[in-house]
Amino acid sequence: MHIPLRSLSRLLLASALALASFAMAQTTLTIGRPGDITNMNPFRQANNLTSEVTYQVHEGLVTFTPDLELVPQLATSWELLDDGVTWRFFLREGVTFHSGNPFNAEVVKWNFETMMNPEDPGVAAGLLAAFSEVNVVDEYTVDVTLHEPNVVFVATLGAPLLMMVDMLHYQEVGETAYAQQTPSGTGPFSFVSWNPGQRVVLEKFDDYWGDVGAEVDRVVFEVIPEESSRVLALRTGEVDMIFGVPAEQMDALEGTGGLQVWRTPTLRTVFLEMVTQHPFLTRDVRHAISHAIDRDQISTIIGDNGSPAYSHGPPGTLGFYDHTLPFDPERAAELLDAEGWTLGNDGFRYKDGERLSLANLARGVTPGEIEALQVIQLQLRAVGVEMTIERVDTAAWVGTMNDGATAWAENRTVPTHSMWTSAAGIRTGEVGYLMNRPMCEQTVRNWTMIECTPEYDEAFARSQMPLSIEERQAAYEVLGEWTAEWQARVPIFHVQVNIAAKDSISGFVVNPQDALDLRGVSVGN
Amino acid sequence: MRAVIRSNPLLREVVGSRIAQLSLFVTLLYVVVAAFGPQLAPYSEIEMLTLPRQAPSAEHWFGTDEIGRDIYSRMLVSARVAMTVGFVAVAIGLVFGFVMGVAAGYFGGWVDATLMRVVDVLLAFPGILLALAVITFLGPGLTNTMIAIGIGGIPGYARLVRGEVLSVLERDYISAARALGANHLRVIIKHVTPMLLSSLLVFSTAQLARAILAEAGLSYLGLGVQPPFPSWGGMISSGQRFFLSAPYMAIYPGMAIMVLVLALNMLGDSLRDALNPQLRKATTSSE
Amino acid sequence: MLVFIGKRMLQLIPVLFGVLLITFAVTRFTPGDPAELAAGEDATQAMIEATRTRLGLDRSLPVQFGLYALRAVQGDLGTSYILGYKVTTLIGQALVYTGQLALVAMIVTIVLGVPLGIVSAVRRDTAIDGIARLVALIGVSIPNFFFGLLMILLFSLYLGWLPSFGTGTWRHLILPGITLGTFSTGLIARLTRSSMLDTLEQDYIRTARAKGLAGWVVVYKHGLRNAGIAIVTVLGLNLGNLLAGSVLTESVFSFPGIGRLLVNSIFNRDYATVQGAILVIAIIYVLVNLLVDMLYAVVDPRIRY
Repeated sequence: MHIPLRSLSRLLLASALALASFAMAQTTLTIGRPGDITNMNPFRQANNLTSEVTYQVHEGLVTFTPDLELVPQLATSWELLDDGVTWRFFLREGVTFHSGNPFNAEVVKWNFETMMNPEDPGVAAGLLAAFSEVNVVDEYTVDVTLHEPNVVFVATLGAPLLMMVDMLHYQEVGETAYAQQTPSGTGPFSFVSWNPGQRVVLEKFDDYWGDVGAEVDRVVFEVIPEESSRVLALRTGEVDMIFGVPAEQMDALEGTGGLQVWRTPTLRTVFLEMVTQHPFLTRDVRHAISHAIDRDQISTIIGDNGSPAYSHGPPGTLGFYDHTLPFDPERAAELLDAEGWTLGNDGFRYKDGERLSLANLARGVTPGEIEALQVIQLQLRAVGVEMTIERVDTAAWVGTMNDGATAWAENRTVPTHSMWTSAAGIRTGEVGYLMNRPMCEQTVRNWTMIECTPEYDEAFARSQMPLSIEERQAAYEVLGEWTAEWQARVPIFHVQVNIAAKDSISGFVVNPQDALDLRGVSVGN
Repeated sequence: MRAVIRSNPLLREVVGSRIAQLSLFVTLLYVVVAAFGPQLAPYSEIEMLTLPRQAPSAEHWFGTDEIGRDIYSRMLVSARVAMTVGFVAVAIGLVFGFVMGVAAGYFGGWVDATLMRVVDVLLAFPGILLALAVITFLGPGLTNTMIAIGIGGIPGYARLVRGEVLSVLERDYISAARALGANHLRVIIKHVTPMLLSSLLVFSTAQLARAILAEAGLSYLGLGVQPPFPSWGGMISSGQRFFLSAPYMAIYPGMAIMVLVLALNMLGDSLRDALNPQLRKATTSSE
Repeated sequence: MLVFIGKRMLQLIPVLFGVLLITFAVTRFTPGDPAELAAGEDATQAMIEATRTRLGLDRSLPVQFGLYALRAVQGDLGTSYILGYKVTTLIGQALVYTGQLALVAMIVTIVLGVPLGIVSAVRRDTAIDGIARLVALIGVSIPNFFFGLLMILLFSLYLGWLPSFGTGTWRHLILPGITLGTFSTGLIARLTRSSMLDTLEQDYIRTARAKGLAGWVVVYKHGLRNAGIAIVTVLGLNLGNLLAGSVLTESVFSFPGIGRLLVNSIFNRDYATVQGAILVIAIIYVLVNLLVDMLYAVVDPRIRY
């Protein structure tokens, strides 16, 4: 075959141009994150790393703006009916799922019922415990009836929790395939692929209902566990944006040309949590551990990663109550002595030949978490308590706590795990969101395994009722007193979110309530 | 000391070489640090002293780590961890491997066949893999690290010893001793073992280097010595997280491992070179 | 020849049996009930019992081992309770990545290690030899995870030439590939040097040199050919070391190969995956050894077993 040189070069030029224009047309936003999703199924998503992604594909009935204002999403409006316990939602019309299936009242009903299925509760079941039943009024109207008056119910729906799943598609492909390969929501991005441990790829959904949808053609969530690698990846341009920037890197990144940073105090808190049914962790031992923790020292070590925490939310949050114990190592030692834990030659305490040793299961996904834990490790050591830090993956972390709590709830099986580190954020503007749920009517797993406490349950119900702020605050104080007595969930620090991105990224706003929103975010040149 | 060196041709040759002198000196230096590390350390290896991630200064020679501990002190104490794991692991491999190798080589037959199949199985797990398998069911920690690495060293010793025993046994005087009905243990101790010493010495030096690298690797993965106690591998692992702002956190411990392993390998080379004529003679005479 | 192959295959059987026994022990003697793990997060006691029966965990250990071995032989390594995928699927994906890495490492070893050893041998006892030997020695002495970090510092941070993590393009393979190949490069260089020296001292080479053949021709024609067998053997055996070395290298570079899969699974107590990964690496290693032995016999008919 003989091709004249000139036409060959023309051909090459043409294809190069075609490639170039194709490359220009395709915009990709690549985000480096510290961890991976656990699945793409909103009923089963267990953590923020997962919901950050599922929330781009799925949407809720309502949502929060970065200014913490509750606004319509798949519901255009809602009202409380005269009975005081039924919320009526008017749904957006003409919305389709990525599969092409329609969104309607039937879908909403099925979503509520699947999430609240008593046989197999979904992840938000505990938070929506007030739910009683859901009824279809017409194709675009549903009534959700509660057991009791509850004022935070709708606000809870604004969190990335009860996301509308494509009912027909879910039933057709089954839970596993939906969770791993073919999720379908109404969100601005549709799912492309997930390589576990590596990346999730989403693409723009062209038939999105909203005015502001995806401004980029693709979003890639890269898993980069190492903090340094994450920063490096941004500097070398491999990714456009990174989450979880280590605090000590923020100044340097801010001063680097072509990069921008966000420092946002959040309603997210890192807790040290204890299993109250663990044989070592009696009430007094838990109190001793709490007394041994010095938040000021932790604060100097973790620096810009966060600020000392004393409650489920920062001061100013509705329901704020300092439930920590003062730093008092002598009191801690007294309590441990009284419990029969005597100091051995090696500096650790022993009882019946057993060392007071606790393994803290930590995912290490929050910047500053591991440093804070190392400080706590030494603070506990100073009073004779050994705390080992066991790094685990999110899936294993959730699995351990769920299995233990289920076994205890069903058969009172003595747990083998003792302690873990969690990070959780308020998504309704008040601390009730993170507090232990009522424990007597066990609707969801109780990870700290606190025994049924009717007085607590009753106060909890009151804190969620449509009463005056003063009355609700009073109820929150009762909850705070119980929480202080239990010392099962010890607040360590409130997280400051540190994000960095290329200058070319615009339209990005950090939501302090853990709701990533990539609508309107664009990649310039 | 001098007399001892002069009377032993091997030692004389080793000490005579510059490279050998240097590597021996470095190795001994590490041994001294391992022995007296905690006394030499200016600060406590686990107490927080100051602000985190302080760059190296007159006060903290190698800077401070992520929670304000003195890196220099932690490194000195880590030398003991590395040396302890190294020597104990080598001892485990040596003792078990030696017994297996001697038994297999001396008795032959089904004893040999069985033991060598066991060795084959252990050899089927390359490098650090056997140690990982052992750690998986023993759990992490200092003692388990020593056991895990030690088990990994057994098959190498067993094969070496078996081969040497076989070649020694072919010598006339030992055949004679056996033919005269000398008792097994006596033959092994009096005649076989001394012949093995030099090759075991060379091999053990290399094994020590291998064990120290393995310990560093396991600690780097978080499966070795557990925090707050220091180990070079663990220090590199936590230093990696601050590699951009405080690279010294990982670099000093990394250099510490490298220099020690380098010295051990050089020492091993020198020993081998010094022994080589002897070894060669030994093999040719048995042909 | 066939007799030899048959014999070696037969020898393989007890070895594979032992490997299965050890990997079986990894899951059975670790804390934690495999039935609870397999039954999943939300299992009730009844479901756990059912799973126990289904998995055969209610039977005696020898029977359990038999079942395990039978399944493993059929290529069924169970399901990862953490990720919900078949262990064979996870390992298959990871092996593709590790395979790429091992290939790069092997190329590095051959391209750098062999010439380094040759130069060292030919220029014996010169400054070049000294430097080459030191480089080779550093190669076998530096912890590869530490070397990986130094590479990241230099090539990703200071120079910005290469990515420091992940996969996707050939550029992603360079740093981890070189890191993985460091040890074997040093090893091969040292081996090449000593076998070249041995060969160069042989009488016929001296004769060839004396006859006036140009130095390099002699080196290549005779020296390398004879040193070749030893080098090829070690290269073959080296594959196992590369697989094991990937455990550390992949951790440094967050590289999704079998090494990182293994380490993550150990941390997550995902024993089905731990056991599967160890088993697969061991089997690959054993089979490669066999292959090397056979090649040996083919290449050099003088070798008899």
